[in-house]
Amino acid sequence: MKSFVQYVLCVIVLIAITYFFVPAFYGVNYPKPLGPEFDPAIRKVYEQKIDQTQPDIVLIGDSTAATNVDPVLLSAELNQKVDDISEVGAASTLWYLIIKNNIVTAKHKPAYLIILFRDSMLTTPDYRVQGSYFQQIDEFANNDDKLLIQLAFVNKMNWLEKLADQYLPPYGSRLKFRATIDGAMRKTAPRWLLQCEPACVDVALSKIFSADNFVSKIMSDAVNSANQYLYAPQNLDFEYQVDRSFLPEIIRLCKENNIRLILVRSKTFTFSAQSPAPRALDDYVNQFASYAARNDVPFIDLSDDPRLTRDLFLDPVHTNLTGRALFTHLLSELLAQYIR
Amino acid sequence: MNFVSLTFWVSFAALLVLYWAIRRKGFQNILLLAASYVFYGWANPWYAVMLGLSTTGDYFLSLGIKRNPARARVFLVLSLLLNLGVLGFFKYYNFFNAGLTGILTSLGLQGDFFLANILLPAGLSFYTLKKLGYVLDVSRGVLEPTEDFISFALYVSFFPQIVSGPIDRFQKLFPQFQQARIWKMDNFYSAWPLLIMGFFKKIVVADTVKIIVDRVFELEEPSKLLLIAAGLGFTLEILADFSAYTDISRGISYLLGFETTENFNRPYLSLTPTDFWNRWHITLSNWLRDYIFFPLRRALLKSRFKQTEWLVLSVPPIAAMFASGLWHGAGWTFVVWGLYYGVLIAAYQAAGIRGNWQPTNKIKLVLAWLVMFAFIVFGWLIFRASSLGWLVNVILHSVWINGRNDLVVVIITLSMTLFYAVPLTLKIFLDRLSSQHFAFSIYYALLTLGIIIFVSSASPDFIYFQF
Repeated sequence: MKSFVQYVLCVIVLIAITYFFVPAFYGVNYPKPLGPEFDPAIRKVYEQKIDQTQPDIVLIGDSTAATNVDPVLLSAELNQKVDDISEVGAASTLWYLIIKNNIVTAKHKPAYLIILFRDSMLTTPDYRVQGSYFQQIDEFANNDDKLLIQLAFVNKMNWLEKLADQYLPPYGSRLKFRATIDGAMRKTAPRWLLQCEPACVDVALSKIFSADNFVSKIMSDAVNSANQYLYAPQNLDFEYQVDRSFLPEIIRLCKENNIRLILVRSKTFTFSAQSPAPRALDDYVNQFASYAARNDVPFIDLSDDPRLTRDLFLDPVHTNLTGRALFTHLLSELLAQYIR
Repeated sequence: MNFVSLTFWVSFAALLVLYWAIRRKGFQNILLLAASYVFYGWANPWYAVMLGLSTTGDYFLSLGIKRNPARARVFLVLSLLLNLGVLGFFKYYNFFNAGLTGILTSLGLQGDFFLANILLPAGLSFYTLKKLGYVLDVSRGVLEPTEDFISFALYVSFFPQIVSGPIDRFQKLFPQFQQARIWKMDNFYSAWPLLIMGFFKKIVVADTVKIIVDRVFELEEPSKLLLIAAGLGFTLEILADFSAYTDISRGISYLLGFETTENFNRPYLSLTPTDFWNRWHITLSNWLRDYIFFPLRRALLKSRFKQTEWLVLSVPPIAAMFASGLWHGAGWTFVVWGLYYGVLIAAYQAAGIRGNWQPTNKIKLVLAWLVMFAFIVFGWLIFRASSLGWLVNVILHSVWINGRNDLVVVIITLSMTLFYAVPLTLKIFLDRLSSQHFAFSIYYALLTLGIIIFVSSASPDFIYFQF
């Protein structure tokens, strides 16, 4: 009894201390608005690039777009200037932010915007928003974007998380706490022992853990495992997900700025005869296609193209060089009907 | 349902209120049994169906042993076939996964659905050992089989234990199921430190160290030093992860008015391999000792090999540890890991260093600990490696250190491991103080703060779920 009461008092005192510590150290006052805190600055690198290169077509996607589509070849086949602004690890939240804060804000508006995505990626706003993905998102977001905070973060919180996020500094500012602890872990010992400063640590980590150094099967399994979230039953319920996603806003932004949006579903080998795709995926794709048609958005589905065979892929989602050329060619053939 | 999920705790709170409101032990047991089946069948109801069928099978087979002694051996063999057959089939699923899927697909069934969603029940290894121990005890006349189906089914499916143990004996839990239970605050006072410790070890230590450990073990060819650093990280991770589950399980059991067995007793302070297995996953070690090690040793001592001392010394531990390896999984890494401990125990015994061995001075103590700790870390390297080929390749062909970048990553891995080991090491010293000491309260308050900072809505599963 006594030790439990002492414990409760200690917890209260520690939390009270964080009420003073967090505002002083991290500049966040409590109670705070729901959702994560973003850095006020917004990266404008793609806006500048678009203004500089003045492309007709902008291609956006994740590493799949970067490996599967050859922008030079696409440009030659379509006879249009193509700019690829895909980011490794990106998903619908980051695409929405780049469209909103870089593409439509550019002085030069591209005529076409192509989004290359996989399966339910466009309607899962909480996919790839945590951990290191959060840092990527933070570069293109600030606290004014209420839609971002609501769709990508708040919608996934339960009542207890919402309460803790607003009123409990150790929870609400946990990302900042963790960044401080991780930073100390990563940087203190290398600095003391090897005079290796933070930049040197980042280089070391990226070199040792570069994709080339991993066992390919494990990498492939990891890609598959990370992708499984896209096929969770609730994420394949299109009607439920679409209004909770960035897709309507992406369509609206493009229409408002006279940019023709074209959605391209990429080919994947996540599933096989031994491990077939969930049946709900077919329903999802059908509903997705109808939704795109209703909104006058061209939808190209490369997922069933038999010419894209497994030997043309390095792993379930990324093509090799031969696959890249074929993928680009097939894409340009299908795009030709929409691009003049 | 995962212990580290809000769904579980909200459901558990509702269960707890109802459970203590009922007051009658018969209804309490029925409620617990229903809750256990809901918990177990949450991910897939087929899991619960399979559990129910196999529990019913063993219930009648054990009664058959008692009622029909002339055919006791037949009932025992049937039970062994049922339990070992099911366990063996599912454990070695990966070996025939592709073929079986093909057959199911050719029959027009969605093979993946059956195999991935039905044929891999979590916790099967744990409840199979519980049932096997029960039936073996009944057949040896050590235990009177119960006619109370509810209590037997509850013993097998008891939800705090079903997924990852502890593998408590029937003799430990059954008398508690038979007792009247009323709420006492002592239940809560015993539970809260275990729950906080468990959450801290899982959320803060295991899940954080796992990030860098997994990365190193996924590399094509890490340097030897990086492998050792990751091996140390995994040594911390697996203890934190598995003992966290046990702590939470024991905490939940206390809240329900039951006392369950401690599964870990500072295993990394062991001086010999036997000592290690007396401290690590204690309930599994006891099971292996009582149902494999001792029977085999007795059989050898009665056989014509009784004069061959090395055989009597080496076969039982090697067989028991081999079984332990197989129990952990179908991969060669697990088999070799089990055999490795079997050979180590035999070798230590041959050298005259038995389980109760104590060094005569402090230098010997430190040396014995260092040697044993090195053996433990090497054992975890075998256990964690993606394949034996990968580990052998790294040991034989990899360089010790691959330049400055590699050294930086080694230092980061070691500093992370050391940092997250501090709270667990501190606990060893705190345990020497009275539990009423103020230091305990501060310690647990700091752990709570750590949990709040590290908690995430997407916690990975406990490692031992896969066994």
